[in-house]
Amino acid sequence: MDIELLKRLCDARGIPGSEGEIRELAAAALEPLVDELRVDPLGNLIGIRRGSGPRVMVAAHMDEIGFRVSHIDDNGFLRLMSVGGNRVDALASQRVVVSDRDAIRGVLFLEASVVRKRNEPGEKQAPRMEDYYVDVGLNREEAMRFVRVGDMVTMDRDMIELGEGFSGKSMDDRVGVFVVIEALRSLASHGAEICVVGTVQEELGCRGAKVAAYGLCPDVAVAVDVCSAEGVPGAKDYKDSCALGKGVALTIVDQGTISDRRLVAFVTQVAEESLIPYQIHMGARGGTDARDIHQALAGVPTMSLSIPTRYVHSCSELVYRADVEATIALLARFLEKAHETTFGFGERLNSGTAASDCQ
Amino acid sequence: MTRHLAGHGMEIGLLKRLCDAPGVSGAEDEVRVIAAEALGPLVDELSVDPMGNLIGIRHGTGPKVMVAAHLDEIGFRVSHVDDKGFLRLMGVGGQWLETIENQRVVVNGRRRLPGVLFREGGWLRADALSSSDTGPRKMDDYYVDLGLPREKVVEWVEIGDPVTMDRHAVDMGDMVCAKALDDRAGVFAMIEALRKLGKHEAEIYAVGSVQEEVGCRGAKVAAYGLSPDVAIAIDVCPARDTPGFQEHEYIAALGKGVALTISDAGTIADQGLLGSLCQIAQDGGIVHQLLLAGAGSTDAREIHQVRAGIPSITLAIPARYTHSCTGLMHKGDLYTCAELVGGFLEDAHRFRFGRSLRWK
Repeated sequence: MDIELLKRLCDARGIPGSEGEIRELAAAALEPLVDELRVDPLGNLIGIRRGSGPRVMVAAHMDEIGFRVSHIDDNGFLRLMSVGGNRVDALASQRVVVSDRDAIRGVLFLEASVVRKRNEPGEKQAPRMEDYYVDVGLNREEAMRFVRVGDMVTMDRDMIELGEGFSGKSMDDRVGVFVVIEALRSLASHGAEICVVGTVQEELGCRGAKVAAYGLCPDVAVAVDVCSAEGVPGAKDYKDSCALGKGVALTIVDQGTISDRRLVAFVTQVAEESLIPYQIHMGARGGTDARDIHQALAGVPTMSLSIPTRYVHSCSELVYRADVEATIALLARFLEKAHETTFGFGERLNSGTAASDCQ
Repeated sequence: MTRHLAGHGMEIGLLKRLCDAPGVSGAEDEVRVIAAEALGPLVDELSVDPMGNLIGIRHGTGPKVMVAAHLDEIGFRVSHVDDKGFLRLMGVGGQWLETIENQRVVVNGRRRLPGVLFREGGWLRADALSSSDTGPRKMDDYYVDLGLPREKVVEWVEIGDPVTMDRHAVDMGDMVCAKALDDRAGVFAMIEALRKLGKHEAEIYAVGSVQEEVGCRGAKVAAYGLSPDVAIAIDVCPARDTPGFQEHEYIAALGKGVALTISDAGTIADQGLLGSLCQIAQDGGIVHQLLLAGAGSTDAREIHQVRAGIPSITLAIPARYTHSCTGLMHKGDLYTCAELVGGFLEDAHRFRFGRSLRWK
């Protein structure tokens, strides 16, 4: 595995709508692997590897959760708007980067009065986004030179190797982008027409994937994303739906998608035949690009291949190396074999008529 | 390459190295080595006392002046390894529990292992986005995930291993942002003062003290051993010039110079010493502020009560977010602190300290 690429992808900054940096990195890595590479009107990065078989869309989102500057106060402190599902009860004392123009650092803190209130007996109110501010160590006049309302704010945490895995600020979903690139790199012969998509704005509701699917008219689609792994202190065993180190997670249902059963059956069979460790996963919260892809056009059979991740939406998201490897292997083997089946849809998939109808 | 701050000539690289080094109370070794290397060329004698205090002596014939800055930082020790390999921690020193969740840490055992610090159940609530939680936090709720199975963890980690925050110091314009500014900034200011010291008559004891965060235990015995005539503790003080504090609650503000501590929860500064320092600051045009702190204390707390009493004061460098891993300090304040300490050491022989009077 190209750990250096994973680190660069993970450390790049890109909240929904500001995926430029990550798109450039992904494009550079994809360029030698595809026959066609383009960016669609919403910013999705689309690479196509030609084939005569069914058209398979593989999506991984490029954006990460973060913030935008909403206000600069009289003393140069910044207030933020949350972008995506931030866990706002645990943001104090994080270091952040305010970028879009000159990147400057800041520290994210809770207003003192809120801290005091929270320590009063019986106080139940957890911090809200508006209780936080960013201290960039500048007065208002200086701050105005570097920062404007709307600027992107991301966590300042570089990816490291940690134990048997990797920990970083935006495994969700840079590890997915990485898996797609590595799968294409290891791909042997294939019959399918493979459309890989680095989608934008997943964290705000899969807006990129929706239009990408419309444009590509895939016969079948796979979203590669992270899923929440429990098994940490305080978790109830019966809530464990997947675990670190037990292989790629085949998501059969989450809060946005019920995966296509025939697709899941085929992928499971590929995993079995190729001796790739996998686990069946049901997601109790959250969803992936699959949510909007499977509802695109007249419907696209879709599932998620998920990388088990602890502490999703923290800046210390943790994945295991073995699971990433298993996901890469399964995606590659699936793409190699995708033309060998009709997924139970009869002749439609191999005829390519659905695709041509669209274009 | 060491970067020099324009106009100030301080070796900020040394400050960063000091801050980045792990050194919870009782495990200050790495910090002591860095401080010893920097102090070595500046003193006539350099030693480590039985408790671990680093003591540099620069000889003189005048009054004996002790300058103390503590080497240790707050942190944790491993208290338990559970059957899945997660670590539980005991806090060392005053923890600010609101700030430790979702931080990266280093376990400094047989191997240096990175880990992530989370709160039991904290990242698992079904309702992921609204925050229904919760009131005060407890240390018991937190654990460290090393991303390793228990077999590996027990091979490399022992109960008692020190755990520190994994945050490297960075420049933020005129500011520096780091963990452990409390009190590596003080150690740094002490070294800077000696580096720039001109002629002096005082016998100077520069002490990097241990175990301040658990009750100034190092400074106490160092003062006993050195028996100084007068003492200055250099430490940080909280600057509360941030959102959520009223102006009358600021205590100290960044960028307004070294803070002369009139009193804190542990020490009332010696009046004569305070007067001398104010005079030196005024004469030398050193920007400074006066500080009255209702809580917190420094090595001065123990030093001034050693033997039959030692006139003491704290010179404080204001820092925002002390006891978090993202402390914020103005380099200009560090500079004024080093200036004032240096000025005092050069002038110490001109002053008489202590109020002991003899009637007969």
